[in-house]
Amino acid sequence: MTIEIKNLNKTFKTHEKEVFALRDVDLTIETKDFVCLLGPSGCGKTTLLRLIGGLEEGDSGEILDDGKPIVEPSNERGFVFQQYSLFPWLTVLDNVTFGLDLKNGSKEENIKRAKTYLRSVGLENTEKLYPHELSGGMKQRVAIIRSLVNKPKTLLMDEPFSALDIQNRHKLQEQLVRIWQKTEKTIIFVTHDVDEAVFLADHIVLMGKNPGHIKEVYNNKLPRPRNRNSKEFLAIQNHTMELLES
Amino acid sequence: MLPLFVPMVMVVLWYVFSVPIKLVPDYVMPTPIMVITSAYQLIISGKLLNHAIATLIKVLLGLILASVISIPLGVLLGWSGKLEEMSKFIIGILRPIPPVAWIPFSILWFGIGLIPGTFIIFMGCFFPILIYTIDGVKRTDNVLIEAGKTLGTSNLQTITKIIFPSSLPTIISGLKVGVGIALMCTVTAEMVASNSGLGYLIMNSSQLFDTGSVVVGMLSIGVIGLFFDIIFKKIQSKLFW
Ligand SMILES: Nc1ncnc2c1ncn2[C@@H]1O[C@H](COP(=O)(O)OP(=O)(O)OP(=O)(O)O)[C@@H](O)[C@H]1O
Ligand SMILES: [Mg+2]
Repeated sequence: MTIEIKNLNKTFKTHEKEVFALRDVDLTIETKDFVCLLGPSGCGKTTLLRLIGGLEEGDSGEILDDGKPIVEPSNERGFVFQQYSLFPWLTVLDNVTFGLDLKNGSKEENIKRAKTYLRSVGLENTEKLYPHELSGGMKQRVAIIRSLVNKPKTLLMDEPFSALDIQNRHKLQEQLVRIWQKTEKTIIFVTHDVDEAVFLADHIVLMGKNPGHIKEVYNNKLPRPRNRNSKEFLAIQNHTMELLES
Repeated sequence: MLPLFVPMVMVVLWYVFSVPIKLVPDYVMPTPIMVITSAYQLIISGKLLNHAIATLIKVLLGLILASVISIPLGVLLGWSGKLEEMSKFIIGILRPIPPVAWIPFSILWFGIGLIPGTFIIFMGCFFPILIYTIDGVKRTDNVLIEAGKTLGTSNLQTITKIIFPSSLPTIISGLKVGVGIALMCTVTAEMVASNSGLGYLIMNSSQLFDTGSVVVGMLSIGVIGLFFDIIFKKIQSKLFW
């Protein structure tokens, strides 16, 4: 049960220019791993995540999910976008049941399940609200729950917390780690924030740009729960920073 | 109260210039009293209601027919670049034709009565609704479409569950424009190809030099327009997020 990326290349053609977004990317992600893709702006993090999500097509190479090539998006791979992506015409509850309702399950069951999930992140009082009535942090939590409620095997997240203030960011990071420990999902999380990567991930995929490529994968063995102020945390943070800049 | 201030001043001025001062003869400009008398008679006899209903039926029928065809078509054209490209030219040519230019054919094809009026209205609101729908569909945020796909929408579900609701506010704006055009078309159409409706009332009364009833007909159209406007504002305030 793994996601295997083999010799993946991706270019974008715009007008006359050609951008090498990803070159010769090889990466294996084991099930239940928490992986962060870390690198500077423009190194192809979003592109790689979208390719894994099936939202983009590679030029050459392949991406396998349990041996099967990924060719299109699927609810097996939940996706949390960097931009707010809740459906503005639906209430929080209807947003969360959206994926469940597509499958013609019993509406009552779906609502019950959605409510349980919302409660698990402390959003039980927002069910009847519309997305524009929520704060940024609440929106992203609902977006995460909207994906999780479909029980995807993998959760792909593209800088979901980058628009939040630092307190909220830390709170959501802790919540995410708890969700991950409880639900045992594979999480692939894009960030350009070293602190965030060290706090969240077991494996930090360090990426460089021009063209986008993987420099190396750092295995973060820091025990959980992690303390941002511990000597060990800061040491790993420094080490990762050095690797990234080398 | 404030919106009523200007009309009240106008009525007072109108009265002053048409009754004590008498600037022009009655058949050129009726007095407020004549209008009230005509209105009273038209209401008591039930004629006003019948004409208003005749107009409303045509407007609603034309609008519904146009929506039923142009909204799904607009969604399709907005969704598929190829289909839109294919239809660009024909839409470009048909759209600028004023709906009333269809009057000769509407009479030839449908005679006099309900259907030719409905047809003119159909032609009048078809394109605005179509264009607004296409526009709304094209402006659907791509991230919503992609979010839907990662939650498991099929192509059809993407259209019905994401693209359509996301373009609904724009489609409603198109309907609003459509109603305005529909009212204009009905009245014009009724003046030539009808024996009922507010347009017919206006035309008929004017031939009988009953200028009071002409004004009653005109004001009734205004009231209907206002009524639609209020309804759409209500819908939109519920819809715009
Ligand atoms: N749809 C597109 N069309 C053209 N070029 C693109 C497209 N998407 C990405 N690129 C280019 O590919 C490169 C990688 O982009 P990508 O968005 O994956 O970077 P990123 O690592 O996610 O950056 P950031 O941290 O700023 O989000 C960039 O040079 C970008 O300009
Ligand atoms: Mg990005």
